Amino acid sequence: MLELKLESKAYDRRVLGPLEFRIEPGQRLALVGPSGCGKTTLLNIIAGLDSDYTGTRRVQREDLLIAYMFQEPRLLPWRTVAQNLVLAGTGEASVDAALAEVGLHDVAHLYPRQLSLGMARRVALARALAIKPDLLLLDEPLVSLDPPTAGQLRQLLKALLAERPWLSMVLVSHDPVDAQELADSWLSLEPKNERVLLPSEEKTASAG
Amino acid sequence: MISRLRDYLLVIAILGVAWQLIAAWLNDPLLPAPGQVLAVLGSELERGALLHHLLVTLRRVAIAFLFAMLLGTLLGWYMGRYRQANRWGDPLLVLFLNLPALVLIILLYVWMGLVESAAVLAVILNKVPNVAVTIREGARSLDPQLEQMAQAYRFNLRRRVLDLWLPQLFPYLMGAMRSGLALIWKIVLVVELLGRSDGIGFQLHQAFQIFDVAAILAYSFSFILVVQLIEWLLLQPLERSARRWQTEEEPRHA
Ligand SMILES: Nc1ncnc2c1ncn2[C@@H]1O[C@H](COP(=O)(O)OP(=O)(O)O)[C@@H](O)[C@H]1O
Ligand SMILES: [Mg+2]
Repeated sequence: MLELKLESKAYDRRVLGPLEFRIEPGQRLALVGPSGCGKTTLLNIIAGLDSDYTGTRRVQREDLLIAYMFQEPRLLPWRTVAQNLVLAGTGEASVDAALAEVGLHDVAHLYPRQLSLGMARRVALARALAIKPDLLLLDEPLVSLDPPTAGQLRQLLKALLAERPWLSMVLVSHDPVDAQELADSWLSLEPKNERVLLPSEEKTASAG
Repeated sequence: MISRLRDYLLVIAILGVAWQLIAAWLNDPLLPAPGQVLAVLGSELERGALLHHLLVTLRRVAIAFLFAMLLGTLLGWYMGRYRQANRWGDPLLVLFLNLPALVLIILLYVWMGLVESAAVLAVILNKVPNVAVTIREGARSLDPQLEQMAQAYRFNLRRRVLDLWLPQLFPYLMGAMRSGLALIWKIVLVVELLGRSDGIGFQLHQAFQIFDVAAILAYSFSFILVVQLIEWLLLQPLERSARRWQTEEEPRHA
């Protein structure tokens, strides 16, 4: 579905690469590494938002729909929750359903600054799922939440993913627990130049 | 709101009383008392002259304001967003910012003749650089994270303009409009004084020639009042509705 051969990505210094993997329909891939190792950078490349790297990115279909849940909720602060969803491509009529799916009620008319971080994350998740993507990118979806809230959101993510077996996912996290719970294969991004390949993903991911 | 209005009126009243006292003490025709100015205001209003010249000036201000905002916003936007545009535009901007308004007015009158288009163009060219500089600042401070979000969710141009860029540029636009209005009407008066035969500036010129200070003050105050009304009835409501997302009830946490 999506294939990335990344030779190198550098800002002032080299951040990523070489690195290579393929994402198949329904595959759940986790990329785990400590803060600052280039996880967000990698997701931006996968999403097609950053094309300033050496390597190739191939998508099977040009209209492959990718939904990106950023590390920060990135809702437009001057638009209500409902407007934020509609702007991203949700139908007006399905806003309430999309919010209900992530466990939110009576928030459609609120502005993002009236939400807690946990709620804003859920809205961002609703926005990502509402466009009915083929591939879902999650950037540290549980970071900076208190443990109970993080636990709830993890369960929610698990349930929503289970309902959509065709949906592919790439999750990046600094926390191996997230990867174990939500993904079926994982790739470890080490800050140094070696990249460890774990036995679970030999077929689909390889690092070199 | 009510208490703001009360303070406003209080300041005006204090200034009025002080003026009255000084005028009474000097007893000089060159400083007429507030009552005399009001009397002139009334009689000019009755004659129809005040309204006529007021509308003429207001029309020039409106046209110049509209075009200066439009051109300045586009220019500032491109200069803020594209480095190459900034490299080309910046020397021009510095030149026009430092060119005295009077020089531009005189040159355009000399080149184009004492015509309406020269007058309005002179005002526009005087204001565009200020607007451009303000908007350029705004265009540079756009949030790159939201930009990425808009790209990821495939916002079309219309949504980018209306939902992503305009709300971020709004404070800068508001600033440009405020300072724009204040500057433009002052330049319009100069333009009228130098080369038009109607408008407040022309009337001030007439009054100046016979040292009619009461008329000078009457015409000036009438226009200040108009600008103040524009601020109250147009700019402030606009600002309030655009800032609603910041002022809605305090954050709610679940
Ligand atoms: N726009 C940028 N310009 C320069 N350096 C950057 C930029 N974005 C990220 N970096 C650097 O690249 C590295 C990886 O960043 P990032 O992908 O955000 O890491 P992670 O998401 O894993 O915490 C960091 O050292 C960061 O300082
Ligand atoms: Mg990150």
